Amino acid sequence: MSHKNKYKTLLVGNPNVGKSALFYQLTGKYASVSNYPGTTVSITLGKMSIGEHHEVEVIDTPGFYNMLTITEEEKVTKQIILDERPDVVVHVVDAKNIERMLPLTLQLIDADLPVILVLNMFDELRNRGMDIQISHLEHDLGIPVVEAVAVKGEGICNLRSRIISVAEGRYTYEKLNINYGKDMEEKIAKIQSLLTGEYAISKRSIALLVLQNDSDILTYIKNEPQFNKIRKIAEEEETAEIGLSVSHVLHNLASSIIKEHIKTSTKNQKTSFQGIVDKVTFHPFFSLIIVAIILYYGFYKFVGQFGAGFLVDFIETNIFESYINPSVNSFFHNILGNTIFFNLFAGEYGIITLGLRYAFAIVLPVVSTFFLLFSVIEDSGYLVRLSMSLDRMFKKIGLSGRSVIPLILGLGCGTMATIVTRTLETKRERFLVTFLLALTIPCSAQLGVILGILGVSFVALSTWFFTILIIFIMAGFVLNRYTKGDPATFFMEIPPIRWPKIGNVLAKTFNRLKWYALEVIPIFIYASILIWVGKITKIFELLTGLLAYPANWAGLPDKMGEIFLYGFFRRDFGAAGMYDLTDIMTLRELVVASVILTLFVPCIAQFAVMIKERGTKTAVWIFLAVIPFAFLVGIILNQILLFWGMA
Amino acid sequence: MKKRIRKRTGRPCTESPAYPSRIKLIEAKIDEKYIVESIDKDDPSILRKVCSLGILPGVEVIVRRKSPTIVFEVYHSRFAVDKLIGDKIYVKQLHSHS
Repeated sequence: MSHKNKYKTLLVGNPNVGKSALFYQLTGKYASVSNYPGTTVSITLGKMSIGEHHEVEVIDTPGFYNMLTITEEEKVTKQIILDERPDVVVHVVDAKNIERMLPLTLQLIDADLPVILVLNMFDELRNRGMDIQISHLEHDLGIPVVEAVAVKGEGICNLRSRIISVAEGRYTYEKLNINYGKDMEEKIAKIQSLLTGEYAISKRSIALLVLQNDSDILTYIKNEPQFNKIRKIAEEEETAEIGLSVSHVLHNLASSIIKEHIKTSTKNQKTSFQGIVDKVTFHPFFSLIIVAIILYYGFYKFVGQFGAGFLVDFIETNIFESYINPSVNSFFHNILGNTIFFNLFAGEYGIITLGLRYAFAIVLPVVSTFFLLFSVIEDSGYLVRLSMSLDRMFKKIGLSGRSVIPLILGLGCGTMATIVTRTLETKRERFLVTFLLALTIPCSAQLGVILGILGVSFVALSTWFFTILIIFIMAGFVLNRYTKGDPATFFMEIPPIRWPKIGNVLAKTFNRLKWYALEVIPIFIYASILIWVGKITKIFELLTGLLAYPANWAGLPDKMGEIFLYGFFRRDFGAAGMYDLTDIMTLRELVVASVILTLFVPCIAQFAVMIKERGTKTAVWIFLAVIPFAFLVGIILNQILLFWGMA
Repeated sequence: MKKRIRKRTGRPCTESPAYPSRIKLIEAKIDEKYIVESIDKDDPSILRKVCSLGILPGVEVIVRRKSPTIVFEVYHSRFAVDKLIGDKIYVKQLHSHS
């Protein structure tokens, strides 16, 4: 055979089972992320070559629990299964949770899909004193079963060869029979007999989904000649009752298979360390202490003092001001002289001397330290515990504990956080979080600069912090009161507390930074160009002049108008600009300016993402609500501080 | 045992005899074994979510905490749910006849 055989493999499974790690192990670094047509759900595509003759396209699908789909992500995965007709479906499960996850494997088998079951994180199962007899499990299920530890690269070779053997049709599936009871089987058979088309999944599983009134499957088979008759049968059934009984059968079958092949040693399965960690992280008081420790050492010391203080100072003073800026200035002076083009690249607002200096000297160190901290907290399993602790408080402003994750990520980059609101379940919660991110959450560069500027005075820093906190709570209450929709519910799986693995933390941080750099550096350059154009055409003078009015009302110098305008091109850009003003402003002015800047409209990138995720109408509405509000708060705060006697 | 539960939850003794010890998950005692008896069908979205995560009638649960959220164990996993969902899951004591 001269040309390559091309095959298609899908990775499916619950979130948090190491699916992405497995994906990268299989495909190497060449992956492309794209949105599934017509949705905001992203899927990842990669290629895996085995020898010269085999090329396998690997598709990493979003979280999937059940063929009877609930979330948009699940619907996308089901659509991919139905449309793509994969040669192999790899179901990835967390080995220690196999009993809970096996029902999906059974559904995939029942659907006649070419399934391979991967028992991932097998080391965690062994650490709990358990073991699974793989060959027996394989025999009972009639499908290939592979044990793996994706993060360590174990079991990947075996999986690769199994994928090829299934794709080439060399594996003989011995279909496991699932019996849903006499009554149900009769109903299934009745619908099955009415189906005439040729489908990606078995008619039996289509019939089952029809009986559970699954809207996607009804759309999928809408061209059936007997469609109306089929739909009528479905409408007459007690769908919730059937759903429960189907789940029950699958679950019992899974349990009986697993109980036979899993060995649990009688040794203490949970180390006492884990027990203590759980007690502490679940305890209402101690969990607050942990939050305080993370805030102080993580944010204040590491991101604030080390990232925004030491690193920024070092890169800014020792690298840019000493070497780069002078040589860039003289270089462009030599070729361009004293023309307006000199100012495009160098001088006070040049692409290199301002744009790239801000990007590399001020923003990059702050964002890197933040993402590193965030990856550590995320991988330790602590974020979920924080969501849990805050759920009850968040309910008061219409959010669930789940919102904690995008809101904290917003402290890194609001643009990225706005994208992450997709993980929230209701449209209402996504809107509320998007609004709060735009209004109240400072991004890491802003936060770093503000910590750097106000850090000199505890009173100033606390004033800023509590003002923002009060605005956050007030805005939450008001939005909750006047936004239509059902309240959010909270449901999360709690992973065990783990020591973060350095390799994974670094890889995650690197990926986030890469995304950030690709996103931020072009925008910094465009912003420099826009500022240059704005300067030449005098449009900027007009706008900064306009913004100087509300700045003056809040007791701030005219120059702040300019900072606010830069703030839109990049929130952190504006904050970085404030560094240059610390000498001429009083502490009170700095506090008021920091508050306005935090509340002020999100940067142009975040605004673009808001339009994309929430629609133009909502995004513009948020934008227009935020501007006057930010200044209003600034004006009031200034009066309070004056009255209070802050200089 | 049954009496204690009723006393704690204020449930009247005239309760349907078909479910002698059926209580809501939020009323379960901490660190004791229960099995899931049923899931409320009023809210289809909660029902489907709970089912798809494998929390089904017949499954063993142990509630570990009730504050700030309900934390319970199923198989080898732990879940945190709020009161809204804890209200929809009915459980009974494993040895209700004893």
